[in-house]
Amino acid sequence: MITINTNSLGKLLESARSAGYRFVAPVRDGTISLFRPVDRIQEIALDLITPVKSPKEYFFSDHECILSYKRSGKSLIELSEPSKEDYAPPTVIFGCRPCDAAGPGIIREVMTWDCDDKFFLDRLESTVIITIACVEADEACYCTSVDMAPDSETGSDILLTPSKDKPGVQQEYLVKAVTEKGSRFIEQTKGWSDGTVNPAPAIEGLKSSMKPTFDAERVRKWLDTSFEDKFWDTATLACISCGTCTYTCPTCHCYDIIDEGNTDGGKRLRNWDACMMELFTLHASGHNPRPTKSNRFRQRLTHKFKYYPDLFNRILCTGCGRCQRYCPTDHALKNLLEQIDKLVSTESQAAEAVDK
Amino acid sequence: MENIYRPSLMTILNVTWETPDTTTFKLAYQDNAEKDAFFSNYKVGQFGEYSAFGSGESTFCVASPPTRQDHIECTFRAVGKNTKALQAMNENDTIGFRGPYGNYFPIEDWKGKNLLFIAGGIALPPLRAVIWNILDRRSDYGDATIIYGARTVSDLVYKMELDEWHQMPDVNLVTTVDPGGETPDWKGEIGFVPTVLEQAAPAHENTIAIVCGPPIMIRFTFPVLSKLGFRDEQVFTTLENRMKCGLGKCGRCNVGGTYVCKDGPVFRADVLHKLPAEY
Repeated sequence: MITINTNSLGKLLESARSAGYRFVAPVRDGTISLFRPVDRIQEIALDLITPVKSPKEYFFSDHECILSYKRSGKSLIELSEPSKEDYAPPTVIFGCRPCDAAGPGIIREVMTWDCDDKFFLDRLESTVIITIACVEADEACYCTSVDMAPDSETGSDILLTPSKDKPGVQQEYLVKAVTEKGSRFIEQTKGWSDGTVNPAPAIEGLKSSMKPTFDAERVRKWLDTSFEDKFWDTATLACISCGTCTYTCPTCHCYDIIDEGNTDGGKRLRNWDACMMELFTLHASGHNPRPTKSNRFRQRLTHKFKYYPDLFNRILCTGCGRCQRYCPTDHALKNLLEQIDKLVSTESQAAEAVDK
Repeated sequence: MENIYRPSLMTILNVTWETPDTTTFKLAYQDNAEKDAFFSNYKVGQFGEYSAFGSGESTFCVASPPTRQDHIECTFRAVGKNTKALQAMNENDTIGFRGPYGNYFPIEDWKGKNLLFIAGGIALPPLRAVIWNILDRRSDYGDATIIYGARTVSDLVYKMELDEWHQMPDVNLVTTVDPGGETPDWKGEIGFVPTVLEQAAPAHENTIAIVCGPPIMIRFTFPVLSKLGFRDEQVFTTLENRMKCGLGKCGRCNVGGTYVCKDGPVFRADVLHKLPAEY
């Protein structure tokens, strides 16, 4: 079996960098934490449950050029495109959690739906995802409610299973190459050893203690018939449409296309957008199909737990808990999902009582 | 890998001012291979993304039929940044176009049937593509009736073509303007589209009705059609919702779980009635 210990991570970083990879890992920056290219292993914060920002931007850029145009004559235009070398450099995402590793695979379904978004796919192809299984969770975490677990392999190229119950401490990791790409990366780089390591008992502990807090399938069934339910109006009152939930989400993928420049030359850009914003669906005529906050909240929740699952047979959520953790009004998806689940069980109990 | 967001470059061959704020562009592909690719896919009812470089992209239908393969046309009203920038352009200028996207009117299934077109205001362009498509293959179809209304006489688009359809012995054209929108020499009807439709009372037997207009017109037209005996399966319309990609990825045009850009924009009335009111 392959292992790696904390002391060898520096060697891994060095050899990955000399093999041409940019090494991206969780770091602290002031009051927040995020994924960023690092030069030294000391910069990495391995004790976080998850950084505030997910590594989504390394696959699906928050702001990217998809086309350039230049006037080449009085009425002629010349187009050019960014090169793959520039937008999709070989990258290692090191130290993300299973919930973040699963994100790109979920977005991939949309980006390959009938036609391929090369900007996303090229980046995914040139990235090696190295995940560390969780030994800790907080109250916002709910991966076990959405078919995930603290040690899920989904989306990872390499999964590291820690041996000690505390994250970030000096320790040994059990290494599993999940994909072909992961195996190649292990062969290509240094720092790995042969040996055996016992997984931290905390992982099994988490798996049994983190009971699902709602039944996603039951929620989906309720969503089938509850588009007009009055639940939406009251349940979403606290939302302030700030968009923190979509910004930090590892699976949200709505985008805008805009031009920056003038008639002589400029760029066409793709930027992150959010269904929680009023302008998102506003027609040029002034008509808005989703004019209210509750309409938009319903869209986000129903997209994740019904529309997307109906199309691609999995949930558009990895349970990372960021929307719950960072919502300024403490009013996120998880709360609403639990409320819906409770609503359904109360309704079915009431129906049973009537039957009796 | 191909860049799905890369537009084709199109030369504006001709600019027609339909109304003071509505323009029709006749566009030619600058690249022949791209033109061939377009026409091997294009079916009537589909749409595209049109751009004035520097101002972004806007979604309009293709207003010309696939039976005319030397160019495409689009008709649009200037309402936002990009449509205003497009309208400021002249003949020989270059614009960007991506398409064709979305589904189409199943006109092959309509062979031998009578067709009833009902349009209001700026919503004639998507139907105009169907109208010319079937007129260019006249013997495949039965009677053609067009009921077209606008607020005022100056809001009617395709005035030259309205005259042309009026002259055609095998086209029954009824034009109308809202009360107060007529001019002294107006020879058409005066009244709202649903009322004029009810008066015209076209037969429902072996007929397909294609309706396109502002939401208020659609809302009042559907009940008149069912009163005239049309079943929902005989009625088609085309929806619009704000879009960016046109390809089912940017996440904004969905009506419930139905994506207007992929599952639409053309919907049969019975399918439309099952969708939530999110359009």
